[in-house]
Amino acid sequence: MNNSRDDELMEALLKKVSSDYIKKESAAIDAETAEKHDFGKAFDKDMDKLVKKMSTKKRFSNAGRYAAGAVAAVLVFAVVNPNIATAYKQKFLNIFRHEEGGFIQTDYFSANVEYPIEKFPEEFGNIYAPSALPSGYSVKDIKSGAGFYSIIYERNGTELEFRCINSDRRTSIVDNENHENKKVRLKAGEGLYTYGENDAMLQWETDEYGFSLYGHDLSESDYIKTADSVALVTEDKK
Amino acid sequence: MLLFLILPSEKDEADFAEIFEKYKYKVYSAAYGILQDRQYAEDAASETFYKIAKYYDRIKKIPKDELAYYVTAIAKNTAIDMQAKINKRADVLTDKTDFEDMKAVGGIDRFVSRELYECIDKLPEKQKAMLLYKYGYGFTVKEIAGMLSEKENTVKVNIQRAKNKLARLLRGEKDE
Repeated sequence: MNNSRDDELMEALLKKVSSDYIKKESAAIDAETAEKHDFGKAFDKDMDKLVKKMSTKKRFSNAGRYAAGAVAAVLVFAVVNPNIATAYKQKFLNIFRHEEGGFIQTDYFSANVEYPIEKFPEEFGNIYAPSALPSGYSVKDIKSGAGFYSIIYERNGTELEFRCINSDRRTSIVDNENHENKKVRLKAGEGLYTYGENDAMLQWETDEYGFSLYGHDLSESDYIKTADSVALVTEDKK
Repeated sequence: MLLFLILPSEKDEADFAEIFEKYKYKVYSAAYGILQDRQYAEDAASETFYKIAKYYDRIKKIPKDELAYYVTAIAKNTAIDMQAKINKRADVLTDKTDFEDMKAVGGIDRFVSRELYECIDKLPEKQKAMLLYKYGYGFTVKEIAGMLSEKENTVKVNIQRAKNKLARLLRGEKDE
């Protein structure tokens, strides 16, 4: 009983003291004048790109909120008319779809397949998926196992698998006998492209997860474009 | 009414470009203090801002007057990790479990927060950041793990260690 009370007090005290500490430290840091540093060109270029990207993201985020407002208005209207609600549900998933070159730009999934978000494992708070796929592919299934989930896409009976692996449990076995390996440059960093006569795999990683794409009948450029399109679908699913 | 509720609200949100401009020299300076190398410090500064960008949706909710500690702590911890890699040693943090003695914070209410404040100051940089991110900013273990490039378990263990250490320090025991 006492231990429990002590724990509660400790937690409360920690919150209070941590908050005070942060305020004081932040004030002290803000008050300091940092010596100016002449950053290298690479740093300036890199940061310039990042700042621009973040500012674009903010604009899109705001645009998304306004769009959400419009969608909400439609939903309110649809409540009155169930037929509209049904039609809206069917079409909602394709709302962002448009053709661009040989690729279908989608909002995290392809074609007329509902995205069964409940199939993703709970341990993955952040769900990532390709936002662009080679033409013709659509979601066939989502599978998960210990430390990974896979989205299986299909085109004319040929599968393409996107896999996201928890970084704690990442292991990769590469067949050196029948496949060639090469390093490729991706937006997320360096990737390992392993290719053979009938199949190929592209693997890469971030601080958070390991990713792979495994398929057939696709070019190296298809794999790279798909990998570069991987985006956060939902955050903190838990 | 519904439309009104979901329109963008940017009033108190710190702008990323503003954060970058305000803290770029401080972030560099914090990293340089640990790495003592211009290039490495720039790399650490760059990585710091990428981390901030990654968690920007969460970070922009931090009040502006509490942001400085968050930013410099990320920079210091990134530099510490980088230093560990440079030195080819990975012993900055280990995953050894250390759950002993957690319940032994007897009579904690007799201590004043000033002593706890001083004890926090004595914690290793990484443990301090993890503890403050959790209790001061209210981040989840998962978020802290992502922000500090650590495994969730490592964060949990280190927060626990920090709490154990604080309890020991508060009891006036010597730190191990």
